[in-house]
Formats: sequence, C-alpha cells, structure tokens
Amino acid sequence: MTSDVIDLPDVDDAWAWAAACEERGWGDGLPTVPPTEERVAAMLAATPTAVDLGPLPPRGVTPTPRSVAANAVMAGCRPADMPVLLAALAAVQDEAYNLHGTLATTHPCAPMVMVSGPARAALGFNAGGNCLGQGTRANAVVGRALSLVLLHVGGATPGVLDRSTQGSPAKYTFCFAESDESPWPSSAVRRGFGAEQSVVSVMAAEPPHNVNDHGSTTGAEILLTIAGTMAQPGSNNVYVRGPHLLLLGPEHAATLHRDGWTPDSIRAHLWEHARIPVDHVSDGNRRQFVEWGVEPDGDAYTVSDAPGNLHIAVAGGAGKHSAWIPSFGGTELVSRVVPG
Amino acid sequence: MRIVDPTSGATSEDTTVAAAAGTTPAGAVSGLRRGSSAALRAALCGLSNSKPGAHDLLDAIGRRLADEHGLGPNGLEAKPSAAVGADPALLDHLAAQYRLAVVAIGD
Amino acid sequence: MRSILVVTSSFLPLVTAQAKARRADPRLVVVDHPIGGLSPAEFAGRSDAAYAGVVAELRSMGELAP
Repeated sequence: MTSDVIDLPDVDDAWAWAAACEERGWGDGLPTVPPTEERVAAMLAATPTAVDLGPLPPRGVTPTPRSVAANAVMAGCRPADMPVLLAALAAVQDEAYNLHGTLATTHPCAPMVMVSGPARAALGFNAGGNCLGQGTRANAVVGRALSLVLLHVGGATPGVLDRSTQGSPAKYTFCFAESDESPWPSSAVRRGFGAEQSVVSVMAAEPPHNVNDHGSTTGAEILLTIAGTMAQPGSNNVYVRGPHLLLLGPEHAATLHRDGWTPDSIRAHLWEHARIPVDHVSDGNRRQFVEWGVEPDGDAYTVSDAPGNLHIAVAGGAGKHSAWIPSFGGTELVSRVVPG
Repeated sequence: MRIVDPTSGATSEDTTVAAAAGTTPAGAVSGLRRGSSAALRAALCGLSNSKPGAHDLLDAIGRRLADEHGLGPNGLEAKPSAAVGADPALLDHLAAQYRLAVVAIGD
Repeated sequence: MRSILVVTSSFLPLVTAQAKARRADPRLVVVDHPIGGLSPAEFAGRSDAAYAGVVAELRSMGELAP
C-alpha cells in the first residue's frame, strides 16, 4: 500500500502550513490544524469501533480511518468527536442521502448534521442559544470535519466537482443538537431510536430560514407564520419534493405544546396550510414543475409530496424564533447510531 | 513537518462503471457488440439530465439528424430526476434499444 | 453503445473530473453556458452549435458520411 505520509520539510509554522494547504487546494479557506502523524494517532486511539465506509463520490475513493482522522485533526476535532464524525460519514453514504447528487449540484445544499441523545451533553454540542451559529467547538468542528472529508477524499472541490451556483455559509459547517427542553420526545426517539442512544441525523440542506414571530400568543397563530414562511416558490422541495425540517425554538414549541399541538398534528396542519398560490409561480416554472410530475392541488402547490416529509425538532435558546430548513429535495433525512 | 495525507484512501475498481448521465464512456459496449443487433435497435437515443434546457437541446438535435441526415428512428429519454444519477437499469435498457446515445448536461 | 456527451462550458470541469475518476474518455461537444432561461434566438444559437458538434462527432465515428 502506498504511504499516506507526506513530508513537508519547509513547513514549520502556521503560516507556512496555511500556504501549503492553499497550494494543494486543501481546506475550506479557514486555518486548519496540521494533521501530523502524532495527532492522527491520538485521534485514532480514541476511536473504539470501526465503521464500514464505501467509496466517496464524486472521486470514488474510499476513506481510511487515517484519512478521516487527518481531516478531523484539520477541522479542530477532539479525539472524542471521532465516533460522531464517523456516524455522520456513514449516514451520508446511505444511498437515500444521494451523496453524489448533493455534492455536484448547483443547489447550495450542505451536509446538515443533527445530534440527538447523550452525545449532546457528553461532547458539549450546543442545542441552546445560537446553536446554529458560531461559538461552540463541537458544533463547529464536527460539521467542518465532515465537509473536509467530502472535499479531500470525495473530491468535492468548489468550482470543479462541487458546482454550486452560490454555495452557502452552511458549507463551512452545519451541525447542531436537539434540545433537552423539547416538550416532546426527541425527533430521534420519534424515529424509533432509544432515548439512551446517541444518534446523528444528516440531510442535504439549505441554510436555515428564520421564522420570527414575537406577536402570536397561540400555537395556531405561530403555525400561521410558519406556514407562510414555508410557502415560498423558490425551494427545491416544491418540485423535487423530499424532506424538510422545522426546527422549533423552545418558546414556540412550549406555546404549541401548551395549546395541545403535537409533532404529528403540527405536521398535518402545515401540510394543509403551507400552500404556495399558483399565481406566485411563473408560467415557465409551472411548466418545469409539470415535467417533474408536480401539479397544483386546487389553486396552490404543496411544499413537498407528503406530510411525513416534514421533520420536526426543537433547538435554540430564549426568544421567539424558529427555523425552516428546506433540503436539496433528492435526499432523505438519514440517521445513524453513534458507535462505541 | 510530516503529515497524514487528508486526501488519501483506497481506490475502488468499481468506479469504471458509469452510473450517471455524463459519465457514460464513449465506446462503451455494455455487452453488445456494435452491429450485432443493429437492425433490431433504433439508431440514436438522447439522454438528458432532466433539466429543461438539456431536454430541448436533445429534441432539436434528434429532429435535425432525422431531417437532414436520415438518422433514425431516434428516441428521447431522461433521468427520472436531475437530482439523482441514472439507474443502471435505464442505461442497460437504452443500450439494448439504441445503437448510439447523445447525453446532455445543461442548466 | 457508443455515446457523445453534450455539455455546457460551465460543467466541463465536472465532466472532465468525473471522466478521469472513472477512467473514461468521452466524446465531448462543448457549447456555451447556459441552455436554460434563453430567448428562442439565443437557444437557437446553442442548438446550432450542439448540432454541428454532434454531426462532426458522428462523422468521425463513421456513423455519417463525411
């Protein structure tokens, strides 16, 4: 087997390392940690369970534990983060996720990672305030490491194999955890996993679309605002269909729960009320929708092809905000138990 | 500094199999020798990536090849979705039905 | 089954990289990007260029008379 060790004799500080990465097309543009043999060995020493990985499109190369660990080091991961990263990597390799399509598309989707269960607290994933933003190491580095593996081993180089028209900030990192403050069982538990299991769920997703509702005082009113936010004609979900995620802030979730709403009834209500009026869609786009087999239901389009494609989770801190996260469409929300 | 190559991995021998529009190797035979059953197969198939532009382009090319060069009969197929690769079964079906393919990737 | 690949210029790097990864050597006809969203006159120009390229490839393959 060819050695995977590269000797960089002239690289002896952070600036030279950054230049070496840039020269080779490595990294996401932000500084990375050099994946020295010692750091990679330390990362692997904390990886108790092997995960079966296949070839990563579009390049068709199968990552090794060492190359995954090297990318984890570059992203700033701690050794304890490796099982979560491996679970996320296995999840995006599920055929239903459609990794090739999600990496090569012009759509701005990024590999969203949602962490559920004990790993949240054990590794310090943020499910509270600013959980979709900066400031928490676990969120930042695990999402980033996944993107780096797909870039370096998969070969999803922006402008070459990654053909995204505009990309999105989520392509740097897109990782958060489900909140313990949810009034309902977590989405992972509702999807059949045990509460004692740490679960990673991935979806090729757009960045979050904010739902600001400070004025509503009932669950029904909040759902009206959410339905209006979802009913926009420019998402892939309208005609490619597929999954999307409603990430309720805990205060919106509490109001909904107080008024008797459940994830199932929220899903059913939004299916009926998040509708895109036909006259909000251009004639040309209507023809395109028809070619994809999508016709309006009466005088409006649905936002996807079935109520069950709307996934619901709770995350965030204090405040009257939620988020709707549309997807690439040709993908699924795929979950894997964190090994180890 | 000695580092572990972050791009390293094992190369799969299976990667020569074309699975998506745009990756069909020119001259690939798919188990059929050229001319072995040409009389039973249509001449040319357009395969689009399901974007409207690609479909329209292939439609125009197919019609002109028939009108100006008598090349036909010609067909027009598409991946089920631009978001996913072509099903190998679709490619096998096309290989059995047609002698030539024009594949379009347009946006 | 022999094939010709028509690709817009913006997607040529993707196609080239994919072909390399799959050790394929496709016959390529490259046309200006984009194809979608064009006026009929603009589309006709793309269509003419693609057609001419396909005809040239078919001739080189011996499928059409020179």
